[in-house]
Amino acid sequence: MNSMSVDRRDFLKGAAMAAATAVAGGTVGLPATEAFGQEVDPVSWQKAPCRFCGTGCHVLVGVEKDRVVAIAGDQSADVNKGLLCVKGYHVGLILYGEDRLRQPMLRRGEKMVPISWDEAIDVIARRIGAAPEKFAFYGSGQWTIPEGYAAQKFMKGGLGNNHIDPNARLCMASAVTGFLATYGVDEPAGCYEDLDSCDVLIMWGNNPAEMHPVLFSRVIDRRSRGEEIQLIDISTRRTRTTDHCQEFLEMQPHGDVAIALGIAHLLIENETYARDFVESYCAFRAQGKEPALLGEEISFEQYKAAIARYTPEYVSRLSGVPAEKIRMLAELFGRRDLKITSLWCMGMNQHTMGTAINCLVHGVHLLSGHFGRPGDAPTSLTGQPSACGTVREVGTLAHALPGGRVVANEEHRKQAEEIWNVPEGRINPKPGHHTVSMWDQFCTPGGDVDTIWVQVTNPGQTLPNLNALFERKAGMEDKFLIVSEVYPTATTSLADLVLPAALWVEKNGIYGNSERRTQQWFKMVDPPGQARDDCWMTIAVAHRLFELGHEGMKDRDGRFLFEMKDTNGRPVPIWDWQHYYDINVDKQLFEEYRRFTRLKHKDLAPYDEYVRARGMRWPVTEQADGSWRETRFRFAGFDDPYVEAGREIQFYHSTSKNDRAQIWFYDYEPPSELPDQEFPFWLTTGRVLEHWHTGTMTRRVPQLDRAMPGSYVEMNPADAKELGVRNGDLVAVESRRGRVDLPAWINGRARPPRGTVFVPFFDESMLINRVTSEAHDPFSKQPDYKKSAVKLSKAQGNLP
Amino acid sequence: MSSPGPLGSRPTQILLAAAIAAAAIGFFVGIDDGVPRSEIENAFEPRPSSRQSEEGEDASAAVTYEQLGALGPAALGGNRYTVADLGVPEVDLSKEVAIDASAKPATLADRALRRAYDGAPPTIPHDVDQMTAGSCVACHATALRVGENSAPLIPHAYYANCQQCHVVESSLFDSRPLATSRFVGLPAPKEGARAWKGAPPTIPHATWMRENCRACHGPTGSLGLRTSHPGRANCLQCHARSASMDPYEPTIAALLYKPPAALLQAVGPPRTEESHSNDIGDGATGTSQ
Repeated sequence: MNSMSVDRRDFLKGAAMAAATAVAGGTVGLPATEAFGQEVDPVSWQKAPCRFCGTGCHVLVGVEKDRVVAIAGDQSADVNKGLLCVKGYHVGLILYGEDRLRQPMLRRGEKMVPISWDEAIDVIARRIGAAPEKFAFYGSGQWTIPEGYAAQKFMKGGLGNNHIDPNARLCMASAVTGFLATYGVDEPAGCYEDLDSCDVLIMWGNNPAEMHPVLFSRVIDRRSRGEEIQLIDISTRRTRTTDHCQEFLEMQPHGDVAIALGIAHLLIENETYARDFVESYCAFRAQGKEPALLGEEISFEQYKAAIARYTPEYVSRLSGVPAEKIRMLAELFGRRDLKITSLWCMGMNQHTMGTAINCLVHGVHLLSGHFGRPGDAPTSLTGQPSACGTVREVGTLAHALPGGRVVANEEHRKQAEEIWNVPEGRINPKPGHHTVSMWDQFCTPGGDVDTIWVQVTNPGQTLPNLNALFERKAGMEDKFLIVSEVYPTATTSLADLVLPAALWVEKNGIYGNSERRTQQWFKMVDPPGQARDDCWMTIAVAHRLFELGHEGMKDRDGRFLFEMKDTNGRPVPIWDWQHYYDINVDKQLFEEYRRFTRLKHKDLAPYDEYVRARGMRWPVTEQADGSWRETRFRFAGFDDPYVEAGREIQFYHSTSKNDRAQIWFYDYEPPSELPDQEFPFWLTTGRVLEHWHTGTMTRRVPQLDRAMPGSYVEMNPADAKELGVRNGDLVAVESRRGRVDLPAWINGRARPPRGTVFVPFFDESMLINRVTSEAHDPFSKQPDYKKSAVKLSKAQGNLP
Repeated sequence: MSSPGPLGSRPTQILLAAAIAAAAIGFFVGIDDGVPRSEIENAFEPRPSSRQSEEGEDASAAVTYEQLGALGPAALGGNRYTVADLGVPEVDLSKEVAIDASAKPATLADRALRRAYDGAPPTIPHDVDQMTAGSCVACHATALRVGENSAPLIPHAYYANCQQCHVVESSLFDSRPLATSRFVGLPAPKEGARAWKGAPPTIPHATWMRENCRACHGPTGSLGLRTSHPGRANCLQCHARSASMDPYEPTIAALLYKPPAALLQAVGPPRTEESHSNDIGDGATGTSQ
């Protein structure tokens, strides 16, 4: 490995080559301390996407003596242009927490005992072999593309089992259904360049100043260059983002649905909607009697009649936002001379009307014609580094197949069986269990699922209603939980088998970020102890099943499902760890996966192109001269090669088969749970700048841990006063499902209104998801973590 | 220097800047939580600074602005400073400065305590306002002087979301044992190489995010790192960057990042006479338009 690394000596020989190497080889030399003539250890620098969020910043990783010693923002990266956030600058430290898992461990009674890898692989293979239909794979938007692809092929192409779902179900499933229902194909049409040219940026329940700081800086730093930009924050509490906004619209939970309807109503009422755009490129849609993701066609007149009651005054009553602010938004959208970008993330996705609100915001942009020009875009952000790449594109969801295919479609199954060279009929046409249902079955004695293998995620902390969906598993004899992890977590605490995993630059990888950008990196350092790649684990288990005679692990020709050959055509035993890196397994899996990507015009370039680039946005198409061109703006004639010549906009995956996008009508519905006499407060949960999701990695970084060492309940001063609570006092937060005690932080990191409290979910010692609800969107099956009714009381005792 | 702006003459502006800085941060950080005090004082006293250094003024323990409110100006640097000690440093740039090499080891040690590795964004050794970045600029854009110390100047172009990269060293909720890590960061260089004794040293570190040399090496920089010749503005004329260490040219885009005019007006005029041609972080101290 490390073939791409360039050490100091190379650079001293040819410093002038540095820039050329940086471009051509994807690496740059940037040695550490240097004094000419003095012997110093070489530091090599290589590119990698950051391990954390979906922004997809590139970092330069400084490696010395097989250890990461420094990180720098990568100036050649389009996404971040050399800037990072505090997590990104400290991403190298996540490899070095004191308690890294180094050895496979098997539960024997109350104790976890070390076992060999061979034994561990055997235990899993035999467990699956005994009841393959009761096995489930729970994966992640942090899976690399090859890891997710291997798991997908193993499950659907090998076991004929569709019980594979990712944590991204909890994170962006509603964005997916929103894109599918509106455009017929998933993922944003725009890209981050919209942030460079929009005049107005509207953030819908979104706090990018903390959660996507590099993207937020990309916008607000325009002001430092003297540009004018209007920022509007629609949110349930004031955050750091609000501090930079000209407008703050404080809404009631679910108010976003009403606001979007209110804007659309005014656009029509005032006749300021984009008549030409709508007539040329749009159709109208609503739910029929039987709710379905794609709904039923309605006429413009029907749409107009349905939306008529969403007057500013009515919307104001539903949302709590003053009517004149609704008018203000409608006036902005009514101006075609302005460029308007909308951003959203968990606020709109973790929503029992998640699909609806996603569709409605797309609808506002379509109705007003704020679509398809740079700066005019409805854009959803992702929270994980490869939620798009691995989950949405590889399709590691219970109903999906790679490249935008679904198991329910016979044609799609045939295509997948063809590429995988497995017998016809191998793929099961019935969707498997989605996340909530999978864990419910697992925690039910005798349920459909008796074994779950978790890779690269921490459901013991992130599932909603943990008591019911996770902790119920404790002590159940017939259940078996396998967890591949890098550190002990809430999930490993109930595991029966723990497998130590390689992390980030301890392995090869490919991620896909929020703007359709596919990003590759190479292994730079060895994992600690016996930790190994997740992808290897999957292939090793598949091979053990093959050895045990499982028919599903054979292709049509009786060969192993994951057979790989070296450049001389000789098969390489990649299931044997000693030989795993004899070839580039990532590259072989990626090249096979690429064959899936043309159907929905998500074309990917060959692996080697990504080695050279700081990522490329699909569709990436080959040019006459053999070069590869990325696409920034989909469906827009000036940039998207799949739009027919001469057309300005073409929605070529239209669900109405006429190149039109769908403008949806959905009626407002209240949240699944409302504060009442017994549970009078809104609880909303979320993240903080310093910690990434469950804090497994970031809480082991001293700089981040010191800045944000534990969870808290953020309260309005008036509520605190009424409760007689001061900063640091313990407060019990209790819902119908569970209770957790947390110290109060009055106002704190943000300013919640009266009657609302906020709790971040990063702290495993104060599991707020014991309190949250598993109520979820009917189409995306994504739970609503943002709206639980709770009661508060002063608690006794000490912090955990 | 331009003629006096709408806020009056230079001394007035300096006083104003100091007052605004102190007031703004004091207001935001020391803000009362609105709940009646019980007899027990705040259970969440900030943890004592972990970076105790016996020598070096720069390493004096940080105080919270809450303490500042209770103790008055005495809290700022141990009984020595009053509001009159706050201000924008006056520096005679024409004077040679004697280099105090003895202070360098302590300064480097102190710097290392605030950074995970050389080049990492330093952590913040004092309380901050959780909600806004405006108060950072109040002191760090002008190297606001507190007695003999100065708030470190921003060495890079102005990025408006300061706390995106810089986080505090202690918080309200730090009663628990801290994470331990086996990470060993890249150490800071000790000095730049010289071709012969007396030759100007080369720059022994990357200059990306450290484009404003004066931030550390100028008259308000850390003891032991200051240049002997602050009046010479074109640093890179004599001190060579290293292609191997510093593969990037500073980007043009970064040149354009300057604090918004409103913020600059609040913090006063630039401290030095002209902007420096190679000194792109100069934006951090404002321009003299």
